[in-house]
Amino acid sequence: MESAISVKELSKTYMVNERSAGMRAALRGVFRRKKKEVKAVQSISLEIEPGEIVGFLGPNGAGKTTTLKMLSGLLHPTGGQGLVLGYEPHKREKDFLKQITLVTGQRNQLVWDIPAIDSFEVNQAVYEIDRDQFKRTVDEYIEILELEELVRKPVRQLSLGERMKVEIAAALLHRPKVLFLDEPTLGLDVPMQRRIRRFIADYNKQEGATVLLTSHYMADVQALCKRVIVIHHGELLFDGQLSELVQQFTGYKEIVVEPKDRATDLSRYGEIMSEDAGRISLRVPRKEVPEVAAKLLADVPMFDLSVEEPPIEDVIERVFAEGKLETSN
Amino acid sequence: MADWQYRFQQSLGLMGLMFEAVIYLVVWTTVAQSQGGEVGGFTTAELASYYIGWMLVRNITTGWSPQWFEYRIREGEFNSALLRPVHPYFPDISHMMAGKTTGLITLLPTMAILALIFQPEVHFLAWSLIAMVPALILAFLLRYTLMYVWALTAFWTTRITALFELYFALEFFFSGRIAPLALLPDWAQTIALYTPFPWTFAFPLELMLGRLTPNEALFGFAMQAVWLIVAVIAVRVIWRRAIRHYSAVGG
Repeated sequence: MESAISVKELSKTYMVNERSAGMRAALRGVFRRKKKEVKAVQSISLEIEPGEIVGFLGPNGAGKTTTLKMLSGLLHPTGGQGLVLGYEPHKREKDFLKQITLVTGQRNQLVWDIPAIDSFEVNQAVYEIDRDQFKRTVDEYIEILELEELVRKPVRQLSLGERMKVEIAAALLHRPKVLFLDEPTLGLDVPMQRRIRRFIADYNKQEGATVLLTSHYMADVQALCKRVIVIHHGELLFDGQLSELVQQFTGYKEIVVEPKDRATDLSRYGEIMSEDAGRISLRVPRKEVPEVAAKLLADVPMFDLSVEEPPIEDVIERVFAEGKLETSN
Repeated sequence: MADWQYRFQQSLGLMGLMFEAVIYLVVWTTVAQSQGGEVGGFTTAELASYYIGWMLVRNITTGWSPQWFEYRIREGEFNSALLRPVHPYFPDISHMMAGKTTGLITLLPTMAILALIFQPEVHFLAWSLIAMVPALILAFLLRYTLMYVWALTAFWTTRITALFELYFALEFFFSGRIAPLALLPDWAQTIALYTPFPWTFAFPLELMLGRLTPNEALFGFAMQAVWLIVAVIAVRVIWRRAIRHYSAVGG
């Protein structure tokens, strides 16, 4: 089966004018511009099959958004090749654009001053959606996302969460086969995040669409993505199952103890990660967990003890901070 | 609240349009009166008809400025235009035309009131009035497309302003906006004919006022067509470069 997204050694390098502060530097800049190379994306390769939902993780500036923009045709790569549904995105062919969608935090689909339902109509014309199919899709999305009250109001009168719901509906009206979602739940409250996640999951199941999703919220990634790609400083650090990332590539687990005496010093059992309302989190190498847990249970009078996987946020944070993955030994 | 913002904004725009026309009218009328009631073949009443008709043509032939494109690029709104399977030229035209349609609703009564005040004299010709309609449409398309070329330069640089201002100044004179072309010295009128400017403004206006012969009308349509083709080619060429630059540097 041909990949939905096929990326080979994709690179993006920007030339930026660099200038230090001060008058002298400013004057010098008139005569000679110092150029600096910024490697936003460095030789990334990956293959994504149709129907996959892949999480794209990385800190700010890692190259996630640049990659998404290259795959949706907004940016020209400086090296390598990306193919989406067999098309070269930067050529911006009509048939290509009709099959993809890019949702970012910026206002995309909706015209600000008119009711969303009118923007939907514009999309129907622009994407040449069959009239009957369009009506069915609109009704379906209105029902699923509870947009009934919202679609007839001018978009600028909607709250952020409401706007995001309508944006996503508009973005999927033409039933694209490939979705590029850049932080789709940013700034939304938890119930709204859940609703949008469910919508994306259902859409993926129904349409067999391929989804490439970036997010800072681990909840998004955990809920939707079996496969994650970690990118940092423009380089691909990890491409595999999320569970793999956590289990294999962190050598640690967390033991959370609630000792009867809050002042108990547990530092000789492991690295103390946090102390919160009497619950102390210890970071313990995986292999040593049974032993340490047994020792704690024997030595320390306590209310509770539990063994947990480290929160994914911590795993990711550590990956970013160290720029590589620590393997368990 | 915001609804009133739009109406207010549009009213301001129309008031500006009206003031500009009236100022020119008053100035040229004064000149005419000091010369015995006529200037360049225009009586004061004919001047009044020119500048009232001017308002309609001015409203119809506006286009997007580089500043507007610059704003969209800066705000990242251009990305959404680029993601759609349709060239931004077309939705941009609809956007522009929508504004004009609502403007006309206020403009036409205003023109009627000004007519009562300034007592214009016009000799309408049926064929000429009918010909004015396609001439206006072509004038809009031509001017819009020419301005689109300038607007696209916003993709490269924000420093185009001086050059654009020069273009604008030339257009002021050679399009019939500041004064009827007949009032220009002969050498200027000759130069004007080699520019696209008369065909973006003066041509439909003079058809409205019945001041052209059928041959002159045909010549005008031919020039509009030629310049429109040139402008469209310019947009296509520049668009390709603009996009290449935009997608090299990023939104």
